[in-house]
Amino acid sequence: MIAEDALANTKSILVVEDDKNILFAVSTLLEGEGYRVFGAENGFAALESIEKNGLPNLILLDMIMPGMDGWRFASEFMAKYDHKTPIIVMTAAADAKQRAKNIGANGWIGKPFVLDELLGLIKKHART
Amino acid sequence: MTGYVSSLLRGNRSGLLSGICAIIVCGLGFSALLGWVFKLPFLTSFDSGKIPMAPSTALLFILYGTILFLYATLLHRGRGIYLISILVHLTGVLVALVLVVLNYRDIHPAIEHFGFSILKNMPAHAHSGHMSPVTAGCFILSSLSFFLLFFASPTKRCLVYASVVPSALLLMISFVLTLAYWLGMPLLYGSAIIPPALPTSLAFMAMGIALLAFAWSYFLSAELFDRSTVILVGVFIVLTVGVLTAGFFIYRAYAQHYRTEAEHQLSAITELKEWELQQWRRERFWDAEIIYGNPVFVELVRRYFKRPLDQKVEQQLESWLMQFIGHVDYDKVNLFDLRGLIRLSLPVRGLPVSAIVLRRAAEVVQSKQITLVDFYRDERDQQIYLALLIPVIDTLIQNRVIGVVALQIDPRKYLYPILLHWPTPSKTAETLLVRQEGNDVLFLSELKFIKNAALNFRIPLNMTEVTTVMAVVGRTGVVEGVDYRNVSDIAEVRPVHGSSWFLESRMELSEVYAPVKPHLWMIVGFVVALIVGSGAFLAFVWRKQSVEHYRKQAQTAEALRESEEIFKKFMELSPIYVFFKNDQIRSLRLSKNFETMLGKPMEELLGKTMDELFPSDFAKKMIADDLMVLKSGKTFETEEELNGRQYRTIKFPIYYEGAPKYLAGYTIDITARKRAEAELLTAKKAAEKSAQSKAMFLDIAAHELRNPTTAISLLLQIIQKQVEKGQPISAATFARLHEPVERLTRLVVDLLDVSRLDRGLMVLQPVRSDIVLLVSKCVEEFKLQAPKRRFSFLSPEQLIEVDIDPVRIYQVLSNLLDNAVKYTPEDRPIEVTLSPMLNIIRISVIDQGDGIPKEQLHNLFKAFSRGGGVTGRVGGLGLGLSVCRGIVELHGGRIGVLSEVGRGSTFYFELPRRITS
Repeated sequence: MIAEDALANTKSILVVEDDKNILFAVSTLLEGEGYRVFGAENGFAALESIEKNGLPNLILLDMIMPGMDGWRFASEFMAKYDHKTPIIVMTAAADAKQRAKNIGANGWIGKPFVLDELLGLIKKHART
Repeated sequence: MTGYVSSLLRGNRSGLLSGICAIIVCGLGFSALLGWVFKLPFLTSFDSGKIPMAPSTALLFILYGTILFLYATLLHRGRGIYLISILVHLTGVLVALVLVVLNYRDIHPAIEHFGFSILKNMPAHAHSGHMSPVTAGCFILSSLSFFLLFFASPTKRCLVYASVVPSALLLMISFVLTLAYWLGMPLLYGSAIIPPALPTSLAFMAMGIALLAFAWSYFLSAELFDRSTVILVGVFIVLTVGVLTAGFFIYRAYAQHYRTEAEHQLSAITELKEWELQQWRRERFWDAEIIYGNPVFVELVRRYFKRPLDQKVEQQLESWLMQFIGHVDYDKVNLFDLRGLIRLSLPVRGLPVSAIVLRRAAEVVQSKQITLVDFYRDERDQQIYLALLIPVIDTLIQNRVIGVVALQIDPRKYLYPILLHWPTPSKTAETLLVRQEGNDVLFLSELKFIKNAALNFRIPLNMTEVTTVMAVVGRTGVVEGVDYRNVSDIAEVRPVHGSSWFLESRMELSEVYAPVKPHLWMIVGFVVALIVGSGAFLAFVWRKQSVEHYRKQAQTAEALRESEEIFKKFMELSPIYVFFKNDQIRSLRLSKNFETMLGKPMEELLGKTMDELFPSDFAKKMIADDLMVLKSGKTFETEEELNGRQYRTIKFPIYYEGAPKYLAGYTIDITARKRAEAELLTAKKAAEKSAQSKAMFLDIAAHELRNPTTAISLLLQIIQKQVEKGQPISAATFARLHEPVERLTRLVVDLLDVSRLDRGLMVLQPVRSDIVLLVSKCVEEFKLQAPKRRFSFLSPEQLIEVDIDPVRIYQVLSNLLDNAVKYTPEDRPIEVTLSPMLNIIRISVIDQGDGIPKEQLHNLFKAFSRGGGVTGRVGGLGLGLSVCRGIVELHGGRIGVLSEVGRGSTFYFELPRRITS
């Protein structure tokens, strides 16, 4: 039960990232910080994960992905669920800020980033 | 006028004018002839008292007029007419010449009248009814002008010019004559020359106009008359008429002056002589009064008759009567008794007495009046005398006449000298004394031009044109007529009051006008000089104008020639196509380069429509455009393509006489420009695309670089944390570092390759290699890397050796396989084939992926582009295929792709068996 409680109290983060190494590293690092992390390699997988695991407290979203990319995911997610789940865009694009704004994301972080930056953002936006 | 000049008359106004004038000439001649036939003087002279047109003149007018009319109106003239016209004119000239000569010799043949009698009341010029020498001269001028026109031809045009001279002279002479008639002062009247009649003058005027009209029509047809020439001729005519008229008026003023002077002289002299005559008569009666009723004288006569032998009485009586004898012009005194016997005769006794005196003396006895016996001829000595008869009245015996004293007067002594005396020197002036006797006028005094005329010469009273007759029939003052010899004269006539005498002082008109003659010559000289001078001046002006005219014409022609030459050169050399078309859209002028454009010589191009030159819809459209330009009158621009070349054409209408009559235009070959434009556009698009691609590349590059660096950075953080926490470093985590590092490495390698290829720095190191082995190795490598994938390679049995850089070709194949792996779902097979052909080897990588949309195919092998664009599902810079192409092309081969969306793609590359480079 402790585990369940812990699960219940822990904040969940959905990481949508096509680069397996990045997905692995972010997941590992966030789990090390005590978050419950769900990974998805593209938009489809992300939506499936939400179906399966319920709404996360925050979504970390890569933009350029094969299959369903960040934009499509964001619009479909927002259409299907609420707008309250904060989305933080992780992108390598030069105009990351604009892109984040375009899809209605709450924040953005340019690749490459360090963990502390990411954690700062997550703490700022993660919903309880 | 052998049809040449006159042929020009047909249908124009000159012909009409000549015809009308010819009719007038004919008509005047004919009417004059009628006048002679029917004795209607008016028809011959138009004015009784003026000279008539001679029958010979009338006949010539009819002939001349008829011929003129025929020439002016007949369209076809046979030889007959030519012969007759020449004959008539030759005859006319001959007759005129003969008559002039005869006239000069003062011979006037009666045959000229053709048997017509000269009418009594026609003005009796000495030779009325004969042709005037002036008329004859005019006929000669007419014939001369006719002949000149007759022989004129296009090669002998100067004859036409020459004909103007006699025609104009004829017109001038007749004009002056007619003018003189009109002003009531006809020329040549009273001179020795027969004056031309008024109808004659008019007919010559018409003839002159007709002849000038012939010449005029020629000038018109020869287009010798431009506007300025017509003006000059007009000015000349006006000047000539003016000068002639002015000259005539001056002449008339002189003539009037001398005539008035003569009239005054005649009047003064006549008045004086009349007074003298009256005075003379009065004196004679005073003489008579001395003894008439003188009682002393009567007593003496009575005593003498009673005692005839009384010497004393006789002496006393003689002394009484002798006082008369010495006196003036009494040359004889007789004393008659009642029986008519001469009782006393002085100065010599016994002189006989004329019977006339005796008879009149008897009358005096009865009348008891002093009587002047008018001029009488003494039958004994045949001398002319007058006599004064004085009755001797005895008052004592009931006033009985007892005798008559007869004083015989010799007019030669006093009376005739009075009459003959003329105060100024004059050849023809004289004073006549006449009286009426029965139906005659009897001349009482001697005449200047008829010997022994006194009391012998008589003129019947019905010769009213004679000035002397005019005096007798009661006219007084200045009269004009002819004298007793039928010579024109002017006279002052008046009766001598208290007598039966009429006094006439006359002078021949020729003498009156004689002083005018020097003036006349002077005037004629001035007139001729003025006309010739003005003619010469106008001719000079005309010549200068025509010289200027021809000079300008030559200049214009030269300018035209030069402009045509420039135009020709322009058309020959113009690099722009230039064309001119008529309103039928047929080419008039084309620049020479059209020959090259249309591949035909100029002769075949001119006069054709475009549709005839190259029948096509294009040509039809061009014609439609042309017609539209001509119709609308607006400039039109179009671009056309012919035989693979592109042209830009601008065409516009050329207005001629107010309407768009011609079409002109330029055509420029714009093929090169178009190509350059297109190339520029392509280049621009390419540049734009390249810029876009580069931006996109950077975007992708950033992503591609950041992803591995992000992964490396995060993985290193995990490792760091593990180290910090003293945990063992996870091997899995560590292994994960390989992949991003490798990706970065490959990116760098690809970029280097692209850069090398771009700058031509890539150098192949060809080696004879077995391509089959190379492909097999590569496929095996991929099988190892991706064991889940199904790779298949059907390797040919034999060994195929080609000259290649095996490292590079391996790179190409591995790139293609890498792509296939990336873009093909895991469950689909990837097939590699190798097809050896005659000269090439083809290697294909066949996948069953999504395929590539057609629009992306052409960009596939270009640098900085990637299938699927930015949103593509697979990472990578898209440099791979570009590098592949570079490598294959360096081998002298080619690379390509066949793809169908949903079915998969086949990437292939072909390599020559030997590298040719």
